[in-house]
Parts: sequence; C-alpha cells; structure tokens
Amino acid sequence: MTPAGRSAVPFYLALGLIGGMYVGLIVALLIADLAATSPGHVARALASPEIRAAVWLSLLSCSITAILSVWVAVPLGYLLARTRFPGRGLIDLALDVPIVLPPLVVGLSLLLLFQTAPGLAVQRYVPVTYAVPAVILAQFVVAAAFAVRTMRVTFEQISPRTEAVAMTLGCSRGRAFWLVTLPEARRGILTAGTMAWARALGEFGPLLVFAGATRMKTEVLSTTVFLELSVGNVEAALGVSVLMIAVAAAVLVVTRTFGLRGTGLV
Amino acid sequence: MSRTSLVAAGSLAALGLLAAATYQLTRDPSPDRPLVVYCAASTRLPMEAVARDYPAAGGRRVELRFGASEDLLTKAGTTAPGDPADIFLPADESYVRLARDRGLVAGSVPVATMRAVVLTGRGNPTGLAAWADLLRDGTRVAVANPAAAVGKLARDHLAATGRWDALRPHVIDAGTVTEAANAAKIGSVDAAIVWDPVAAAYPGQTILTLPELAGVTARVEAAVLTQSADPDAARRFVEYLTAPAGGLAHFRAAGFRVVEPAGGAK
Repeated sequence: MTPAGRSAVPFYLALGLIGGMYVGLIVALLIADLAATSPGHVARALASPEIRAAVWLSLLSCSITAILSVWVAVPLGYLLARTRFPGRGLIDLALDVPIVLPPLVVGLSLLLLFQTAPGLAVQRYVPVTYAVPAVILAQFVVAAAFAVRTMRVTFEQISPRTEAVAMTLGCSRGRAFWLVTLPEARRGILTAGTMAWARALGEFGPLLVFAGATRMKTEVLSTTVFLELSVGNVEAALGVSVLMIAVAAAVLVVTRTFGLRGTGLV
Repeated sequence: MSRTSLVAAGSLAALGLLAAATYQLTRDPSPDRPLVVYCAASTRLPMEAVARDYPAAGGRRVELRFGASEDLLTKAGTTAPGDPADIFLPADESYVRLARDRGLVAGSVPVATMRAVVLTGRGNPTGLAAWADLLRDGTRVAVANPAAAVGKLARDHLAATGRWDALRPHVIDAGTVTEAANAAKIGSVDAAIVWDPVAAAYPGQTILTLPELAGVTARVEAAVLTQSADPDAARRFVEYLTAPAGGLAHFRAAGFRVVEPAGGAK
C-alpha cells in the first residue's frame, strides 16, 4: 500500500501492460518462427558440414569481436565519461557513425578502405577482404560502438570518489583505475562484452559486402540464413535462425551466470 | 598479480586461443589456389553441384562466393591484391555487360535462359489462372524492384505492352526475385513475378506461364574476368560449366533452360 493508502496495483498493472506489449511482440515473433519450422529442419541444418562450420566460425568470431570490443570500449568509455578534452564532441559523434550508417554502407566503406594504399599494404601481408579477418573486422566495427556506449554509461555511474580516495592513499591515477575503478565496472564490462557478442552474431550487411559469402570460409550463421533464403528454403533459414537464438541464449546465460557469480546480481 | 591483471591477461590469452582456433577451422586444406567464382545466390544449387564435381573431372578446386548480382559486380571491381577472382556468374547478362563496360571481362559464354512466370502461394488459394486474375480486387503481386533484373525487365515489358498501369495498384515491391518468391510462399502476397528456375525451387506452389510475360526473358552468362590469375584454367572451368554432360546437367535439373551447344569463351 502507498502512504496515501491507495493501492499501487493499478500503477504496476499499467507498467506491465505497456511493457508486456513489447515482450508479447517478441514472444509472438518467436512462436511464428517456431511454427514455420520444425526440429527436423534444425537437425537437417546441423547435419550439413557447411552449417556446422558456420556455427563454429560464428562462435569464434563473435568471441574474438567481444573481447576486442571490450579492450577498446574500456579506455574510450572511461575517457568520454571522466575527462574533458578538445575534440571530445567529435569523437562522441564519430562513435555513432557505425550505429547510424546503413549496414551495407559500413561494408562498402570497409571494402573501399582496404583498396586505399595503406589498406593494400596491410593486405600484402594479411589477406583481409573476403577472408576471415574481414568477418571479424566487420563485426567489430559495429559491435565495438555499442560496447563503448555501454562502458561510457558504466563509468558515468561509478562515483569517482573511490578512485580519488585511492589516489590520496598513494595510488597513481593508472593504478587507481586498474585496482579500484575497473573491478567496480565488472558488471558493465560483462554487459558490454555480451552486447558486443550478441550484436556480432546478428551482423550481416557489412559481412556480405566486405567478407562475402563463401561456404566453409567466411560463412557465419547470418550468412547461412541469407544463402538458404536465396534459394527459397524458408524452412531451413528459419531452422538456422532458431539455432542462432538457442546458441545466443546459451552463451549469454552462461556468461552472465559465471561472470556475475559472487556479485549477488544473478 | 592483481585480479584485474589476471582477468586482462586471461582475456588476451583467450584472444590468442580463439584466433588460433579460427585459423585452424578456416585454413585452406590445399596449397593450390582455387578458382574463385563470384556467382549469384540464385544459382547456388547447380553451382554447388558443379563445384563438387569439377575436381573429380580433373579440374581445380572451385571456391564459390555468393551474393546478389549488383554486389558481385562491385566486388569484381574491387579486388584484393593476391586474391583475384576468376569467373563472374550473375543472374543476368546485363551485369556481364556492365562488367565488360568496366573492362573486367575477358570473355563470356551463355549458360542458360530464364523467362518470367507467375508463382502463386502454396496450393494457389485464390485460384489464380490467368493474367486477368492478377487484376482482381485485393490481389497482391510481389515484383522485385527495378534494381533486380526481373523487376526491371518485367516493368519495361509490361509498360511497353500497356499492361503495367493496370497491374501497378496490385504490385508490392520486393527487394530481390527470391524475396518476391518467399513472400508468395509465406502467404503475404497472392503471387510473385519471378524467373522460372526460381519458381522451380518452390514445390507446392503453382507456376503460371502466361503469354503476357512471354517477352520477359534473361540469360545467365559465365564471364572470365580479366583479373584472373590463370585465365586458361578459368576458361577450362567455363567449358566444363557449359558442357551438356557437365555443368549444364545440373542447371537443367535445377529448372534452368540451358543453352546448347555452347562454344568457348568469346
């Protein structure tokens, strides 16, 4: 009961109804997907060596992308949250570019970048375009932008006081960041990593343009969905989509459970 | 070592392991460079069969890179050093013409022809049988947008024969020919105007070969690219692809109208 003596039930009911509409939409989408495919289609998809390779490449490339994204997002997020420097607004704007650009344009931009003199110089030693590094780079460009946003909010929410106290006790700025602020940001780091991982799994547009769709080479699960749809195999495409949802759910649940164990957050 | 340092070192070690696993998963099993074929996603089924058979027929390993014809054209124009493509097989010869205009084509050979047909929904629930049925109130017809060959050619032909204005209120623009066919399959439209080999991949859906669409035809051509590192090997593959007992058998089985007899690359 509220202090005024009136029930809070209508309030929570209203919140639940509004929020429930969105949750209901997501559940309805999943049900529609599941109704249009069958365990047989998922099993047939998994029986294909090409699709099994796509599952492995998806798991590996998304994990690499997630770790790289966190390594980039932590310093950038900290700088944007805690410091003021010339050009900060421009950097903030630049970080929105991968999020707002149409995915195909991200892919095309990467393709063009690796046709410039520095890009070609890199490719003389490491083949990038239409190869596995292109898969990871295309995923990373977009996923890291989301991770940076998460880390910035994380550092903004952590009080700078504890870091300041550590410095008064003799810690350098770097040591205080490393020993005090980073452990406090643990939950945000894990969220940034899992968000980058999930974003990378669903990435498709830049991948198709920059990495191509070569079976057993640059095919990840989103590419498989495209290849199956392109020959009218809607059931198999949905089967692979259901597989993606299952893989993502398993990885995210395991990561969050183990990552937040002992923090009282799970 | 602090816990933060341990986690950081662990993430770098994980990155190394993941990169090694990715390399192991995707490394080329054979030292010989494969023939690289850029092929339209709609030719995937016959081309996968051709690529599977070719090494057994004494040819080199073939690497298929799938995509939409426009994307493939872009890729053919932006090749990484040390990774040239050998053959370009878009869904329609118009893309070969564009590639030739850009100096990318050394020679091309027709593989198959296609004509536009009407593909109904599963079981043809609205009983479509003739052109006039498409113009009934409430009938929705998916047509690929003009960026796709079938979309452009169908619009041009129907406009020239005075039928487009009547059909236009019923038209739902789809991105590609397979998106149009998929819309008919899942029932979001009553029919789709698609190429006949595309329609053949949709069992259970009625195909109407209408005289009103008789003038909407396209030709699939295989082009040897000027950038090919081994033009002779590329030509030999095109010869196999266009041999009645070689590639054409697979194209015929997939519903394409093959072009026989085929000469060498012109």
